[in-house]
Formats: sequence, structure tokens, C-alpha cells
Amino acid sequence: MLGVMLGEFESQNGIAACTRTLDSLRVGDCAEIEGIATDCDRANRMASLGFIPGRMVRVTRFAPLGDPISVQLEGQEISLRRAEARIIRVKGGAE
Amino acid sequence: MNALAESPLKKTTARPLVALVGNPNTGKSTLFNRLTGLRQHIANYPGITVEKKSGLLRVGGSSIDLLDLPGCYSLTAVSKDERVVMDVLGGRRGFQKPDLLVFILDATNLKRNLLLVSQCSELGIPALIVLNQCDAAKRNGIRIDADLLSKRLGVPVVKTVATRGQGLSELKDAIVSALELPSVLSRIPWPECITQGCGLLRAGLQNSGSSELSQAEALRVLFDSDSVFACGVSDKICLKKLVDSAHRSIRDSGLNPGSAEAVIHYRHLDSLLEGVVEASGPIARSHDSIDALLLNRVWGTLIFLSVMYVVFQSLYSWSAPLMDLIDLGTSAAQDFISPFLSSTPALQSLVCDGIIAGVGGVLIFLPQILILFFFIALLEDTGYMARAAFLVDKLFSWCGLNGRSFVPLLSSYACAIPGVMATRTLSDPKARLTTILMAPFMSCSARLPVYILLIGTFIEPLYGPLVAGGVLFAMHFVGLALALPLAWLLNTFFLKIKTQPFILEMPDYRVPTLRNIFHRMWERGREFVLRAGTVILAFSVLIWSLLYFPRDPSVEEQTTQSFLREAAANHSEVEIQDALKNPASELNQVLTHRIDSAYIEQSYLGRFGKAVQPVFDPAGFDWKITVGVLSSFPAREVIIATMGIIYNLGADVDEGSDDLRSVLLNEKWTSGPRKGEPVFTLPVVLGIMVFFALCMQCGATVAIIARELNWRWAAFSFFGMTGLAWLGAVLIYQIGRLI
Ligand SMILES: Nc1nc2c(ncn2[C@@H]2O[C@H](COP(=O)(O)OP(=O)(O)O)[C@@H](O)[C@H]2O)c(=O)[nH]1
Repeated sequence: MLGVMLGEFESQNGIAACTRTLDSLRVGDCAEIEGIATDCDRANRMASLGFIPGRMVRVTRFAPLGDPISVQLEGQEISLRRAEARIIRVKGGAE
Repeated sequence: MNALAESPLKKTTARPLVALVGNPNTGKSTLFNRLTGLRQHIANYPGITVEKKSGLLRVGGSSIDLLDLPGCYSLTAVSKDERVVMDVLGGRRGFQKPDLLVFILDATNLKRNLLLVSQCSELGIPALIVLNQCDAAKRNGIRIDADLLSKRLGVPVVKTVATRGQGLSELKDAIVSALELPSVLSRIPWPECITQGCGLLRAGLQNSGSSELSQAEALRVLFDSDSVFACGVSDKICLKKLVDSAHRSIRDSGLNPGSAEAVIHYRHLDSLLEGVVEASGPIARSHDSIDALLLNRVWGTLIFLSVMYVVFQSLYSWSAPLMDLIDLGTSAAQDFISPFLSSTPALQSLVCDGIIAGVGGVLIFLPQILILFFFIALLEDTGYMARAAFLVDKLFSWCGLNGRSFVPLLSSYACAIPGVMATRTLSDPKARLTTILMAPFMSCSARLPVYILLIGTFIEPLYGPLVAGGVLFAMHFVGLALALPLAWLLNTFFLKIKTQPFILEMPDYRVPTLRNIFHRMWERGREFVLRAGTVILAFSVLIWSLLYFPRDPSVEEQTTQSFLREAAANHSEVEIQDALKNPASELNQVLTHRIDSAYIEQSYLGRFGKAVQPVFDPAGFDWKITVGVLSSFPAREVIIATMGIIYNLGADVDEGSDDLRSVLLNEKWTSGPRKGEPVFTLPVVLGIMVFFALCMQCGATVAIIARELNWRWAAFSFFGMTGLAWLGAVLIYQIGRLI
């Protein structure tokens, strides 16, 4: 299927068990982006910024008040709020 | 087709139009300034408050119109800025379609920057690529093969370092030759399901009788629910059905319609950049260790507080000598002009008290504006601003503002004018709107004299310095304490604009260039004087006329008559005659003050104040307070001088004046149910202070809000704050009376 070819796989059922969202990672954790929540109007924007399946993200730090969080993506340091991090599904584990 | 025949340079009627396009923070403005020098023009796009920067580029004998489009990450038209980009690139809404797009890319982050280029390839407009910040790329160990990139993209590629002007002449030449011999970007191969979806969408819309969409426009409608092109389609239900079915087919092939566009572009770019970008070893990331310090929970917070302290101190204190200088200049100009016009008192007063005072009232804001934009440019250019926003975002996110609101709100504690202007750094329109509306609630320095006068007169003698200090401190937080919940209310229930994700890109730390900083200061200062300044001046003249006219000479006669009758009781005829001949004598001064006071009472504003006094009666204000409050609507700092005039002391009083304080202490109601009771009771005093804390008594702020947003929001802010202020004063007075 095309989606698999492009590295994005929309799971309709099943593997959700081992899937986490970006906001659940701890500082220092590294994970691979699996996808973005479907039918979310922010999806396009997050994807344009580079949050696309297959790429690795690393959480570098939390702001002093816990939100937003700062992540490293393709050598770029990007800060996003937990609300946005929640729509990004990641897989793979801690460091 | 013959490219030369189409070449825009050959057209004799109009100059060719070249647009600069790129992500924010790539060096677009720096490059634009370098290319146009100071031959540039800043205006707003018609009907919206997005800044339109255009300028003239001269190369050889020809001149080219250069347009600096707002920075954007993609064509997803969420913000107004992005909408403008879409409108211009599509040649919609009466915009002239550019003859050439010059893409400014940050060479240190090529792939992300190329996304926009990749999206624009659908438009078929001739293009040219600029790889800027090549110095930073080199430092980071990134090598880019420009020739190969050019071959793959199908358009010329030029390397520049905008801050140092490197590659500028090559760029100019490239622009000229690209206009003569245009080449367009090679298109991205779309997967079957997308092209099919697009085809179905276009066919469906055509069948339903809507206007025809191009392939590029159909793609935008498909991926972007807010697309400007979708707005043009009349049959919304049909459109939704078509889009939904296209999304279904995208989903059937295993893609997420929300992110499919970016995913496909990035996959394409992955292969396009193969062999083009070479990163030697691990990228040297100088900013990681600096971030570890600056974003540290403890040290980062301390450094943040110190930086903001310096910014605030310089706005609040260091600007004072400059402002005093402007004040001195204003009164010197008044003193200089005044004698020439003494034969026509009305003209004399118009020129001195209306126009010169008005011009002075505009210029007085300049020091703070320039200082603030110096710091903003410095913080932005070093890369610290994004970090500061990261540190404090949480404080503001709950009420719909964001971390970038901090600096504008902080500066508003010195003065709301630079504060409102500083909201330009907020890219999210909703957060920017809210921040602008909240800025005038911050207790600016012009409110301080009122607090000092009233607290010093009524609270300190009764309750001691500790309580007085506490009240003064509390007054500074009344506005803030109300503003944040109001922002939440506004955002949650009233504003219909979509909330945008707050995403900050942490730029590399850089050494700022003075040239850039001064350009920013000059730009903002000039804009303020030319655009807001004229409105503020008009306000000033209007209020002057309301306080001056009708100026019936009989007012002066009657006041003099009654004064002489009074004086005759204590002084001999000769004494009075002598005193009146000597302008410096005490009697003469008292008479002048009485006449001034009588004129204010008889002026249009004075009559209006008396007429609306019943409105302020529930707050315990008498007509004198009411007139004082009304006359300080153009600028709250005049209240002290106005009170001086109203209470027969002349305009030369200040908040520390003992005369003014004793007059206020002894002021009694002269009529009505409270006749004989003191006017300034504790609830009244607190009510006045709260009124000043919440009221928008600043014509300049109204003007700047109208400039940054529009007149409707300015009116909303003005009437809303005035209403709140009234409510606050009434509540305090009524509750205070019960206790
Ligand atoms: N090292 C380096 N910095 C640059 C270059 N061009 C611009 N900058 C810096 O990048 C920052 C953003 O520039 P600006 O022109 O405001 O970007 P814009 O947001 O795209 O208009 C500023 O701090 C500039 O000094 C460059 O070629 N090299």
C-alpha cells in the first residue's frame, strides 16, 4: 500500500497498545514518530513543521513550569505545548 | 512559447514585480533592506492589518518593484499573513501576480525551508532560489551543492550572506536574468490518489456551476480546510461532499489526509536533496550548552528575570531624561511662539496649547518606543526572544495569550504605546489581538501621579506609610488581575478566530548586527510619528477646542466683578488697583486662576462634565472630579494640571503640591443631599484610583490600537474599559458606604 511505502501506516486496529504520544515522553527520551492523529486540523501544520512518520524526536527539556516542551527534530530545536504534543503518536522507547 | 517574448523587463508600461517569499527568520527582511536600501514603503494590505513592505530595486538601468511577503512556513492559510501570501501568489483579490518569486531559504535548515518551495511549484510562477545564511551553514559543517540543487529544482540558485552583503550583486544579476529568461520549478510527482482526488474535485465543482479551480488551487482546497480558495466556492455543501470523498480515497490508500501533503513533499525532498546536502560528521551545535544554562529551571529563570528587569528599567527610568528634554523643548517652543501671537488669544492658545502641545505629546512617546524596539531587535536577533517565550508560556497559555505576550505586557507597565506596537512579534492573530486589548490594563507610568497624589493626601496621613505603600503596590496589579481573566473570557466565549498551535523554533544564537537593530528602531519610530502621530495630534487639538470654547468674554468680566467685590472687603481700593497693575502680585494671580477655572467650567467640556455628573454620582464624584476625569481622557497625566485649574490653583501644580493636597482635603459638597460633607471620602478616593487603573484615558493608545487592529476594536477597547472603570468605581463607593 502507498501509505506503507511512504513510511506512514494508518492503523485502524491493533497496534495501539504499544503506541504512546509525544507528550508522555520524559526528558532525554528518544522515539520515532509514528503518525499524527487523523482528522485534526492541526495535523497539516505539525506535519509541515517536520513532524512526519519515520523521523526521530528527542525530548530535550521541559519549560520551568512543565509546559511547553522542547524537542529535537532533524537537528532543529522546536518547542511545542503538551496539547500539540498529544496529537503526535510515537513508538520506540526510552534512551 | 518564446520566453523572451513574455519577458516582463520588455514591458514598457509597468515595472516587473518580484516577490520575496520564505519562512520566518531566514533573513528575508535583511536581504530586502539590502536590496532596496531605504527606498521602501510600508503600508497595510487593504482591509487587514498585515504589513505590506514594498520597495524599489535598481539594477543597471532598469528598476524593479520588490515586494517582501510575510514570512510563512507553508501555504496552509491559517493566519492572515499566510492568507496574504496565498492571495498574492494566486493573483487574487486584485493583487498583481508577481513576475518572479525569489525564495529566501535558510541554508542551515534546507529541507524544512524547501517545503514551501515545493508547495509553490504547483503555481507555475517563475522562481529563483536564494540560499541565505551560508556562513552559519558552513560553521555547522553543512555543505550544499548549489549547481546540483539548481538542476534538480529547475531554477537558478544563488548563495548569499545577507548580514554581510555577500552574494548581493550575484543575486541582483540573477534576478535580472531570471526576469529575462524565466524558468519555473519542476513539479512534484503526486501519487495517484491525490491527482485523482484533485481531478474529481475540480470536475465536481465545475458541474455544480462554481468557478473553475486550477490544479494548484484544488490541491489547497483538498489539504487545507480553511483555504482561501474554498471561501470562493459558493456551494459549500457540495464542496464538503467532494472533499470528504477525496479524503476517503486518500485514507483508503493508507495515508492520513491531515498530514499527507507534508509527508509526500518531504519524501520527495528526501530524494531531491540526496547528494546535494552533505553534513560533515555531527553538526556542531554551539547552542546546546548555552540552552542548558539559559533554559535551566533555576538559572534560566534568574537570567530571564534579570534581562526583563533591564528592559523594564530602561523603559521606565532611563527614558526619563529624554522625555524631560522633549518636555523642555515643547515648553521652549511654546514660550518662543507665544509672544508673536498675543494679539489673537484664540490662535495663540490653538498653536501653543493645541498644536505644539500635541506635537510634544506625540514626540514624548518616541524615547520609549525606540528603547523598546532596540531591545526587541536585540532579543530577537540574538535568538533569546524565543527562549524567553518558552520559559513563561505557561503563565499565559491558560487565558489564550502565549509566551510572546510577556514583553508587550511588561512594556505596557511603562507605557501601552510601545507595548501595543511590540505585539507585532506575536504571529498568532488571536493571541496578538488579546494581548493588544490587555495591554492598556497594565498600570502605565502616567497613572502614577494620580496614585501618589491621592494616596499621599488621604491614605498616608491616616494609615501610615506601610499601608500607603501597600495600596500603591496593589494599584499596580488591579489591571493585571482583571485583564487575565478577561482575556480568558474573551478567548473562550467571544473570539471566533481559530486557535493556532504555539510552536517556537529555537533559532541558533547569533551575534546581532547594529545595522539591523537601528533599521528596526528607525522603521518603528518613523511609522509611529507618521501614522499614529497624526491621529494623536488631531485628538489633542479636538480636546483643546472643547476646553477652550465657547470662551464668552462675559465669563471673565463676571469673575473679575465678583472677585473685586470679595477683595474689597479686605483690601483698600488703592491696594487693589496697584495689585491689578502688577501681574506678579498675589491678588492678580488669584484672579487669573479664578478666571481660568471659570473658563473651564464654562467650556463645552466643562458643561458636558456638569451634565453627565449624575452618571458619576453613584461613584461619589462631584462635577469637579467628573470634569477632571473627562478632560483626562485624551491623556491621563493631565488630570493633575486640570485639577489645579479647577481648584483655582493654576496649572502649575504637581502630585506633591501641598496646596492641591489641602484643597482636596477641605473640598466639600456645595449642594445636593450631601451638602457640607467632604467630597473626598475614602471610598471616593479608592474609587477614583480604580477608575484610573481601569479606564482607557489615553487617546494615543486608542489611536495605536486603531492602527494595529482597526477602529472597531479601538472603540470596543475604549468603551469596554470605560464601562469597567465606571463599574469598578461605583462598586467600591457603594460597598465602601455600607461599611
Ligand atoms: N549568520 C547569518 N545570520 C543572518 C543572515 N541573514 C540574516 N541573518 C540573521 O537572521 C535573523 C533574522 O533575520 P531577518 O531579516 O529579521 O529575518 P526574516 O524574519 O526572514 O525577515 C537576524 O538576526 C539576522 O541578523 C546571514 O546570512 N547569516
